[in-house]
This record gives sequence, structure tokens and C-alpha cells, in this order.
Amino acid sequence: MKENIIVKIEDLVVHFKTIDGVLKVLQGVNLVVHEGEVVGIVGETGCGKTITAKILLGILHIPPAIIKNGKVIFLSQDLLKTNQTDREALKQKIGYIPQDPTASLNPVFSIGTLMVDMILWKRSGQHLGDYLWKRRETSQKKMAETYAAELLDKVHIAAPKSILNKYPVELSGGMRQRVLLAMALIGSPSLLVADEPTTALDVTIQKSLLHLLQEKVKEERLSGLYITHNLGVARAICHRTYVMYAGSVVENGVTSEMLDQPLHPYTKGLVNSIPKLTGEQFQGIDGQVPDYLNPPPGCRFHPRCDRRMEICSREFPEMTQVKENRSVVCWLYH
Amino acid sequence: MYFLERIFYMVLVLVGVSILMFVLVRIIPGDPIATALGPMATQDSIQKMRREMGLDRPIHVQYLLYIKGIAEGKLGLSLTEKRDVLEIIQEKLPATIELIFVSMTLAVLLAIPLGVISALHQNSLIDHLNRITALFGVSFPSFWIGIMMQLLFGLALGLLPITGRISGSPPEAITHFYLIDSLLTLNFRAFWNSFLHLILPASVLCLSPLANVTRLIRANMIDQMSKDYINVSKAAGMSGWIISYKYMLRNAFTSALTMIGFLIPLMVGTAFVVEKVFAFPGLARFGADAIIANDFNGVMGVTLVISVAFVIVNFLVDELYAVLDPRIKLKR
Amino acid sequence: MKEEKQVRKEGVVRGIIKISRNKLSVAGAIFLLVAILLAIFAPWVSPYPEDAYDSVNFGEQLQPPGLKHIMGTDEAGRDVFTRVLYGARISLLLAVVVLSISISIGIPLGICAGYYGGRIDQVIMRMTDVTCAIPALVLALAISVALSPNLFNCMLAIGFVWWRGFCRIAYGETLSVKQENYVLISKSLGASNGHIIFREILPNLTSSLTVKTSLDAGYAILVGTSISFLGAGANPPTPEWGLMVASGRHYLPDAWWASLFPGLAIFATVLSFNLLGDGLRDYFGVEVE
Repeated sequence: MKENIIVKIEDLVVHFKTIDGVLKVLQGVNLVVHEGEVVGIVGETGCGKTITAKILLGILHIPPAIIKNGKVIFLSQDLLKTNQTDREALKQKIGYIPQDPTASLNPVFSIGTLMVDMILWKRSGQHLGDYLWKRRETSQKKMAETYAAELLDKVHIAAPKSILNKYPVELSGGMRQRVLLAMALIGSPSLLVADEPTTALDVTIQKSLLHLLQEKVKEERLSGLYITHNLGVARAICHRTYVMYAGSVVENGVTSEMLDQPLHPYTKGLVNSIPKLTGEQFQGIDGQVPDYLNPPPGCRFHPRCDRRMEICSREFPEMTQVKENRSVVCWLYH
Repeated sequence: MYFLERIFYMVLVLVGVSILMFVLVRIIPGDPIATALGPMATQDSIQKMRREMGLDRPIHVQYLLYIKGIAEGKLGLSLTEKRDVLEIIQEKLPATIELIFVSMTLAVLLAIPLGVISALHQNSLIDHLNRITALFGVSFPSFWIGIMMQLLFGLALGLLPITGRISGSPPEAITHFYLIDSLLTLNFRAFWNSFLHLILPASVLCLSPLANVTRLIRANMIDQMSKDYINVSKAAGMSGWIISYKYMLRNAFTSALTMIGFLIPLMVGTAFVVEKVFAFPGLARFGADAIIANDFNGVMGVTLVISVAFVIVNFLVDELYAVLDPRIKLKR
Repeated sequence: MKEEKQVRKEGVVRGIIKISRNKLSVAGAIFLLVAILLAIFAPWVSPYPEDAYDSVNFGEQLQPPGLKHIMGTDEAGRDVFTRVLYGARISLLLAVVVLSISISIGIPLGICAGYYGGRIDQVIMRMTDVTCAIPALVLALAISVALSPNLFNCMLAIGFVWWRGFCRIAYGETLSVKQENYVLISKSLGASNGHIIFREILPNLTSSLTVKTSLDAGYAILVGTSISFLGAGANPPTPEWGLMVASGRHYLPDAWWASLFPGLAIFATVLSFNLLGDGLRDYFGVEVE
């Protein structure tokens, strides 16, 4: 694996202002994605994985969110410190595949319109005047449509040219997700961020979509950040995975290794929750997801941990690097 | 099939409305004919008139006779103006249509940018100012603000005319819409003059719809901001301008269409008062006078026009909806 | 049960905090309160209560605002300020009457139409559609004239026109609640129709109902004063605001105060209803026309 770092998130702390008070959601997230690898983020609903992705994508609504601390470095630039124009330029290098394909395509425009808009916008170098001129030019439009059809073909959509004239409501869920993948590939991005893209789909389609993703990642030599709550998917598609709980990373490592021999009690609990074919009683994890308004002091998992120690309720554990690309955030290993 | 259903339904509404108003104007106390003929009229002439206007027949017969009259192009004699109501409508309707059209256009053209800007800069000074002005706009009694504007712009500042539709001769009649006719005949004096006459009444008339539509567009735009497809566009680094004015506005405006259609009848009602205050020679002023004077044919004529207009506007709004939102078109 | 009450209490407290953050609605509510108090105590607060209705002081006609008459006098020499205060009684009463009539007709009809569906639904909703085709002002004007124009008939007329709006929202709300799972479950457990209507449907209506009532009160006053302005409502010498603007109109532009102040009173009252309604709309998160 090459050593070029595409994404590096350091000590990201994010709070959320609500009517009830301040939710201290992200507590210090540390994350790295190298060139050419697919990194997974795994965790329960509400653990902060989507927020992390949204900050990377630049679509988090900043009030009410407050970024208290941290760096989000993409291609050697701290996204939190760049100005709007530079940020927009960097966004061109990130492709986003959202969770719900039905809600993610603007229903009143045709697929062709949506894709051509994006293509011409990237081609005009994010210059509004240039874009408006190109949009009116027939030759530019034709070129863009051809490119769009090529991309649709890449994601194995049959009869791509006819799809361009269709509206999202006319397509099936699986097709919509493929269209979104094609849109994410516009302009040859360096990073693909996928937020549980198969959750809203049927199981059979899930599989084919996962295959498609893997194929494209390899073909286009992309790096990937894949968010999921499904350990099986993570194992299938992610080289390395981070496990998040209540706003911070608790463990990370090469996926198969980590899931075969989990270190952190939470990861152990997750792995044990998966019903096994051997018919044993499967266990859940006692307790509930913490309240972000008043999170437990020290390690946020300690109230639910069956191996907690006295220090766990006092201080937030430091990260222990077990070996290269394998670390855990737990007092047990310190 | 779908069209037939709608046409049937609309005819039903029209019939219902006509029956309602027909009965309403005939159950009045007092004798409008006597009032119309004046204090010098004899009992004989009053009775004669009653018979002529069919008032001695049972009410359902009167109604059928009236419908028959419509088919023949006769809407009955107006007691206030002593001529056939159809003639009155032909003469006065264009004025009111012009007024309402100008007001509605003004309201929508202003409301869209105001609504979008307010939504994009929530809780900023502009947003608050908009909100307050909108609240003021719906709270003014139209007759009073009309009078105040007459005082201010007409009399105190002497900038704008305060009554009527035009001073001097109207342009050559082609469409009977002064603004269009004067442009068509290159009569710029008439154009400017009629335009000036429209400014005050149109401003008063557009206040309430402007406020409502602005608020609606703002709310719809804010709603759009949390939509997933907007997030996708944002993540792709699309220009803020394109996202706001193309992607969000299209959806926001479409949702506002039903309200806009609903606002036109409201405007018609307000026009009754505004035309009175500004002595604007439109059908609404005639309608107000007719109702008060129990001019039943006049009232029926105006009602007919209003209900037909209502049906047409609804139809247009539905069609526009289908154009803007392909999901509707496809469902059919 | 106790937990429910506790949660509801917390909700109310949170709601009050939310509303008070919106200073404008609070201002509206306060002004409304002042207006209501002034209206109730008009005979004691106004400087010349005898001027309210039928008095003629030829010597004092059309006096500009001054120390003796803070809003001037009208064409019959009556103190405008006093008449404005009495006018508040009339307009606020109008709002109460109109809303009472329209709510008591509209809501039950709407619920019945939505709940029982079928023929009843068709009949009631078609009636609503027919009355919606004519603008409120026009229809109310016609009814008021038909009943013979006076203030009371004007109130009745507007009430008869207004029920359509309430019917519509009751209908819409009933339809959406009817489909909800908890209603279907209640029904299958044997709950009676009455129980469902009162326990499930009505409570859901309260938020949109409150907002609509507040906003419509203002709008009813606008329609009422417009009808009186046109001459089909209150008759002289009633100190009705619309009528006062109309009579004062003849003496413009010199005696501007006779038309200005009553109109201003209308504006202020309607504005405060709108402010309150707007604030309530934000609080409940409801979209009401």
C-alpha cells in the first residue's frame, strides 16, 4: 500500500447547539486514509460517523454545528481553513454516494440535466460565467451528454442515452444508486465517500452494488471512505476499518484481523452481537448509547463495559499503537 | 378521461355558485325596483317592470329563464346602469383584469427574490425586515391604506394620479387593455398615463399576496435546504447560485403555486374595495355597487365572471404544476 | 399517566420559552391584551363617553388633534379617540362572533366529512368548494345585504362565509389521523366513534386551530370593516372603525384625522392578531394559510 495520505483527520471535536443544550458529539476523532485503500467506519446509529463524513464533504450545517477543534486534511490542505473557492475546487476531487437514492436525486429535473450541470460546472473550473455560457452551447452540451452516457455505461446501466432523458421517479432504487455512483465519478475524483449506500436497497441489489463499487475503486484507482453499521460489508469491502463509539474512534486496524481478534470491549461486543450459524445464544451489549448532552466522564463506553476499571470513569484513554495500522483507545491496553 | 372529470366538476361548481347567488339576491327585503325607478314611479310602472324582469314567476322558473338568457347572450337588465349586464361586463372587465394581472405579477416578481434572499440569510437584518414588512402588509385594511396613499402620493407629494384609469383619451381599443393597446398603437402618452394610474391601486392590491408568497417561498426554500439531493449537489461543489436559484427554487416555487392560485380570488375580493377607493372603472367597483343596490342581474353577472375566472385560474394552475413537476405529469 | 402530564408540562414550559424568544409575538400579545382591556373598560377610560354614539356638538366639528381631543373630532363634533375606543368593542366582538359561528359550523362538518367519508364527504366538501369559488368579501357582502345591512347581520354574514376554512382544516386533519395506526388499533379494540373523534382527532386539531383562529380573527376584522366601509355593515351613528373611515373620507384632505385614526386602530389590532398568530405558528410548527 502506498504511503500517500489522502485524508487525515486529527483530533476533530464537534459540538451541536440545540434547544435543549449543547450536544458534545465528536470527541476527538483521528482517522487516516491512504491512497488506493478503502477505509471503513463502523458503528451504531448516532455514533458520529455520518457527521465525520459530512465535515469531510463540506455539507454539515455549521450553525448549529460548531467545530471546536481539529484538522481535516485532504490532499495536504486543511479543509477547515480553506476559503470557499478553494474548498469548492477540492470538493471536485471527492465523490459522494449517499444513503437514500430516492431522496438524493432532485425529482423535478431529468438525470441528464443533473449530470450535465455537474459536468459542465467542473469543466468551467467553478466559474459561473463560464458555466452559464457553456450551458447554452449545444456542442458543449453534447460533449457533456456523451461523457455522462459513458459514465452510466461504466456503472453497468443499460441504454445509458435513454436514461438521460428520464426522471428519477421513473427509475428503480438500484438504478438510482448506480446513477449516483456515476455522478460521483464525474471528473475523476481521488476519494469516494459512501454513506451506507446499500441500506435502502434490497439484499440482492446490495450485493451487486458492492461488487460494482469494488470494481470501480480498483479500475479508477480511487481511495474510499465507507461508512456502514454492517460488519459483514466492512469485511467484504474495506481494507482497514475504524470502529466508532459515541463520538470517537475506539479501535482501528486491518478489517479481517480486527474483526477476528477484537481488542476493545465494544468491538468485541459488536462482533459477538452478530448471530452465528452455530446456534449459540447471541449477546447484545448492555446499556444504551450515551446522552451527548451529558456524556459520561472519561471513556464514554465505561458504563457499558464489563471490564471497566477505576481510571476509565475519570480520564479519557490515550491511544495505544499496538502495531503498524492497528491501534486501540482503551485503558486495558495502556 | 381525466379532463372530462375535471370539466364535469367545474361545471358543478359553476352551477352551485350561480344558484347560491341567484337565491341570495332575490331574498332581500325591500323592493329594489321601486328604488331603481325612483320616488316618482307609479305602482303601475313598478309592477310592469317586475313582470318584465320576470320577478313574478316562481324562483326556479326565473333561474331557468336566466340560464336561457345567458345562452342567448342576454344577461339581464342592470338596475343601476339601465343597460344589459353583458355590455357592462364587456366594458369594465378588461380594466379589472389588467389591474389584477399587474398586481399579481408585481407580487410574484417581488416575492421570489425577497423570499429566496430571506431564506439564504436567515435571521439577518434583511430577513427580519422582510418578515416585519410582510406582517405589516397583511395587516393594513386595504381601503385605509389606499386612502392614505392617495393622501401621500397624490395630494401631498403630487406624484401620482389618485382616481380613474386614465386622464385624457384612452388608446385605440384592440384588446381593451390600455397598457397593451397603447403599446400596440405606439401611443406612449397613453401607456405612461395608464401605467401611472395603475401604480397606486396595484400597489395596494399586491400587498397581501406579496406578504403571503414571500413567506411561503422563504419557508419552502428553508425546507429545501435540508433535502438530501441538495446535499449531493453541495458535496459535488456545485455553485451556490445554481443550487439556490435552479435546484431549490424550482421545488420551492412549485409548492407555492397552489397558494398563488388561491390568492387570486382573495385579490378579486380586495379589488372590490380598492376599485371603490380609487374610482377605478372596473367590474369590481360595479359589483360592489350592484350588491349594495340589490341590482340582481348585475350581481349575477359579476358572480358569473368571478366563478368562471376561478375555474380558469384553477385549471391554469394545475397545468402549470404539471409542467414544473414532472412527477405530476407522469402520474397522469 | 403522571409521566404524560409531566412531559406535557415540560412541553408547555419549553413552549413559553420559545415564544418569549420571539419578541414580536409577545409584543402582539401584549397589545392585544391592552386592546381588549381598553375595549372592555371603554366607558370608563374614554374622555367623552357620551360622544360614542349619538351626540352632535356643532361647535366642535372637525377639530384637529389637540390637548382637548387627542385624536381630534369628527364631522358631528364627536371625540374621535372615544369613538375609536368604542370601536374596539365592536370589532373585537365581531371577531368573537364570526369565529364562534364559523368554528361551530366548520369543525363538526369537516370532521364528519373526513370521518364518515362517502356521500357525506362528497356533499360537504362540494358545498365548501362552491363557497370557496367566491371571494370571502364578496359573498359576505352579498349575504349582509340580503339580510338587510346592519352590524349584526354583517357579523352573521362573515361567520357564514368563514366556516369553509375551518371545515377544510378539520377535514384534512381528520383524514390524516384516520389513517394512523393508533386509530386503527383503537377501533379494532372496540372504541366508539365518539371516543375516537374526541380523544384522537380533536387534540391533533388544536394546534392548527389555535393558529388559524388567531390569524383569522385579524382577517375577519379586515373584512368586517371593509363591509362597513362600503356601506353594507354598521350604520351611523355606530362608532365602527370602517364606517368612521368612510364618513371621514368626505372631509379629506383637510380633516385627515377623522379617517386616519380609526384606520390606524384597525391596522394595529389586526397586526397584533397577526403577530400572535405568527408566533403561535412558529411554536406549533404548523403551516396554515
